[in-house]
Amino acid sequence: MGYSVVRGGAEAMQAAEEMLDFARLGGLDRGDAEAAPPTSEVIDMMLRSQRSAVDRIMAEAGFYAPRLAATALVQAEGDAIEASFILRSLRASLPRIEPALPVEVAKMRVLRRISSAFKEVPGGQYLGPTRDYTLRFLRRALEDELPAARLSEVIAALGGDDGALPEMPRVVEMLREMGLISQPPEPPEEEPVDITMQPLRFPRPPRSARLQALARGETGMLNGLAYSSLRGYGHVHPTLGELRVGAVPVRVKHPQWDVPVDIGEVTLTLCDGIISGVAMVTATGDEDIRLDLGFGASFGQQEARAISMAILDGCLAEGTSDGPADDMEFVLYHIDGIESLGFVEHLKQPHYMLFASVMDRLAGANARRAEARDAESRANTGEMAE
Amino acid sequence: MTEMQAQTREAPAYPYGYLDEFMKGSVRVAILKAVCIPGYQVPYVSEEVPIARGYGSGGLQITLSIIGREDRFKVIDEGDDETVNAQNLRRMIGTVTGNVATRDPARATIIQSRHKVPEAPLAEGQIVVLQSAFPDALRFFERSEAVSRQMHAEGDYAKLWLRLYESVIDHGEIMIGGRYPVMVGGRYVLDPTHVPRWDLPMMDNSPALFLFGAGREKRIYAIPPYTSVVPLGFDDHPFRVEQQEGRACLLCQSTDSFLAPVLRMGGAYDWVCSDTAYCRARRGEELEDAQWLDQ
Repeated sequence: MGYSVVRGGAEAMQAAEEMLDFARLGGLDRGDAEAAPPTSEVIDMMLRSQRSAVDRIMAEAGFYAPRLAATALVQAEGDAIEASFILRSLRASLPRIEPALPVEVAKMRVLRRISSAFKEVPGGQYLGPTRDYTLRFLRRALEDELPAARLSEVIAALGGDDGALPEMPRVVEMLREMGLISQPPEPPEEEPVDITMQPLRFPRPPRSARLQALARGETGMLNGLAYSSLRGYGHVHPTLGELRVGAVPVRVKHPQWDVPVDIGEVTLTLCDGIISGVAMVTATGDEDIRLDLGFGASFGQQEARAISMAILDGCLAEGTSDGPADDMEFVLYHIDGIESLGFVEHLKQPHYMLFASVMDRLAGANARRAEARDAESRANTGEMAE
Repeated sequence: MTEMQAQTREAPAYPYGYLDEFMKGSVRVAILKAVCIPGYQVPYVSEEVPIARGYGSGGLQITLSIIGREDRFKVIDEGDDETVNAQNLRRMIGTVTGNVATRDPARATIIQSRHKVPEAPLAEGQIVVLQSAFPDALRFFERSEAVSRQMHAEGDYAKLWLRLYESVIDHGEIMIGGRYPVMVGGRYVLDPTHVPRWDLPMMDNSPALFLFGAGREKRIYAIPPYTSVVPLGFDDHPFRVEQQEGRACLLCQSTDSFLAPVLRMGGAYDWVCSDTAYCRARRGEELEDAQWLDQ
């Protein structure tokens, strides 16, 4: 009997995979399969039109590879965590050659830069492509949109390139020079820890390890935990010194000549949160009160991710166990979407033997209870007879 | 009417004021209750509007629920008529009502604002709608809604006073920057939103009605006209507004309005009026009206 179950399982598994492709290719909708574009074109379309999804997948995977992310998105039928899971699995098979040099923020080709701390900042503020101030009407007319025509309209409306942007010093660096920013509680690390090569160690993983764990965190969980601290289950409510989105060169030290060389470019979102506290400035002792910083970053244009990360960096730096978002283990063990999704979904695996053991205990316990009840009722009957 | 004419692309048809009548009604009921019980946080149903949560959805729901065709409205963000957030809300309200928007606070019957009370004196009949992120002044030390509501109900502000006292002991001063708690009508402690402390005296016994909308938290509260608003403080450590000695507005030289810093290269500051309409009026500029498509 057991033998046939295993054989049936293998066939079912195979068929399940076929059915996934059946569903992915529109089989469930009974559409015209002949009219569907080749899958490579679908991947192209994802890359061109699903920028946020692709960015999110790369961020959660911790792996910058837009076309591979778009392919994963297609493979996963739009399930973002599943796609980042696929991408991260691929990453595990690739060599990690060496850490890149720190990103030079001043070298960013800025797409967008805002500050919520100052009305004007040196270098100016650039709204860039943002949904922040759009009205969220459903644009039903998209059904009739012709991409090429609309694109040339947009290009005409935006006008030409204004040339190079001015120098944009980092706002928090200026505040630091003015002596307003506190020293981080931990000394700077020589080399960042890579949590794909060294495990997280509690109670206090180094900041680089925390930042990496947060940077790969699941978008919803980052957002939810950061919100809980903002709202009252914690107290980190930063003012954004600045939020930048743009492309930066990836630089490594040349293995032979010891000079930095550009090996590519990535789009990043960077967030400097000034943890001023929304209501109460807190500090002790006689020293001047200074402001703490929280830092957030994400691949792509992923602003809520970067802001949430800056909040959680601030929460974890303080180390006070005030709310869930301040709890180092709670945050770092539950932030990863691939881990949490995997473990929640593992409940679908067979637990036949575990369940049989539970049932065995249940039967035993209930039998003892029944016995006890019987004994009690016999005793009661005895009393009544007296 | 120049830059403001940018219309919302592909906005579908909607009723006057965008919200359906049931929604408007539920907001109005909450407002009436809030006005009857100054400082009390009235729960209400807060449906999604096409402005993101945290961008003024509560204020917008109030404005859209009370606005009538004769109203002239003004929208400011940190005192500024021209920030993108202010422009966006003005466009939204203008588009779905067809009402005239103004930058002149004296001509406005409804002033929707984030983080600022207009510097110019308010008048009877005017309504200031403040966008509120945190309706509960007790939230910063009591996270549980159930507990803080009971504290409000019993007028039990001992923990709050203790916090203020501890702050004085630690720092020699009550270290609350914005969201400074005020006692309204001698009964409820209220979160006046993130207006500067500078603005709180302007709320005291004001002839105007203040309505506070917290859309995400689903609360409306109010300070009716001619109601006392007393920022909390101690006899020996009284409430103080922000100190502005030695500063004047770079543009209009004002020293009697709340000044916001502008960061310059190298870390220097300039100061300008946060209330742009006030600043422009002092410089003799005309404060324009704007209108969108007719409804």
